[in-house]
Amino acid sequence: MQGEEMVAVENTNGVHNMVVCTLCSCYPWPVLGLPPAWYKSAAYRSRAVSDPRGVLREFGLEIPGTTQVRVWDSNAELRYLVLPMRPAGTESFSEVELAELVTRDAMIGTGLALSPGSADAGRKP
Amino acid sequence: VSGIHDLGGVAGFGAVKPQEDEPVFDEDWKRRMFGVFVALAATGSFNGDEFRHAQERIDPSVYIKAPYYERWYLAVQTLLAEKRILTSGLNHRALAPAEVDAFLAAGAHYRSRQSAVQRFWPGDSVIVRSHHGTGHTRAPRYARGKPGIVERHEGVFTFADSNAHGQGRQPQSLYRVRFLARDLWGSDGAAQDEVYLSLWDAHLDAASAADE
Repeated sequence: MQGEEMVAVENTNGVHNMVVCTLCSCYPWPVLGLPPAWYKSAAYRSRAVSDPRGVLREFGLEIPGTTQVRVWDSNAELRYLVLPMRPAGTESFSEVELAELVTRDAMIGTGLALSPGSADAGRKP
Repeated sequence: VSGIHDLGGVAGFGAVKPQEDEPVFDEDWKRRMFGVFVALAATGSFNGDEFRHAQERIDPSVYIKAPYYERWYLAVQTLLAEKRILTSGLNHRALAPAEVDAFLAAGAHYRSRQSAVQRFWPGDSVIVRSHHGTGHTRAPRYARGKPGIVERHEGVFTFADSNAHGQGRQPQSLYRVRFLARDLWGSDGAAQDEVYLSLWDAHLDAASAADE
């Protein structure tokens, strides 16, 4: 349920994607579970579309002006999943090792994949 | 018109406050409410669009303050009363625990096999229609009257705006439409940023037609 039609959107050097549902709380349950409280909050639903860079700053992310921010409002029955950028220094990593670096927030677009060896690596969200 | 739930671009809600190590359900009644919803949805008591619309009809002053799952409680209460499920005993059965996994795995499908008119193609300039009646609509207020570019035809999907009102699925073409942040928010938007929406045929006019 809630994951019948999934769309993956890829982050690149020039594009950062983030996902919201301004009308309710649509979220890809089968892959990410039920959404965190902040995803369902009025603050996130109202500002993710109008002030995405400000919202990302509240998550500790500063997106450079040279990078485009694309906000995906899940207003229909498509559910979005952000494909985060591969962190530096992971060229030799296996799929399993890379998956350890991918957090829930990285797949919503309010976080990045963790750097290998960082204090947060292996920690969720 | 727009309901209180149509929050995109509304000011005053402050900062987003992520919580570390948040439990899936911080109180047991919320877990129970989620289960009640799944049981009712699985037995066909209402569809997802009716459920959303029932939440949208909550008194605005209650909607904005109520805990998330209280909105679910109020919406379920509304639908059970309107559909006379509690009083008639008709059209209702209990969901057996063994059926739950199969229901969740099977999902609820909104893509249609029916064919439908495709009015727009990738690259077309469109304007989101401004009038959407008083019922459920998936065209958010912040995009109405705004210009966008069709990026993709997603296929044919149940039209939520009719399915929410007992008018059947009436499948239509659904499009991925790209909006410039500057077109939506004026100079508050960053020049390079974009917002993407999925909009049905009935939500859109060709930009050239809208100019006339």
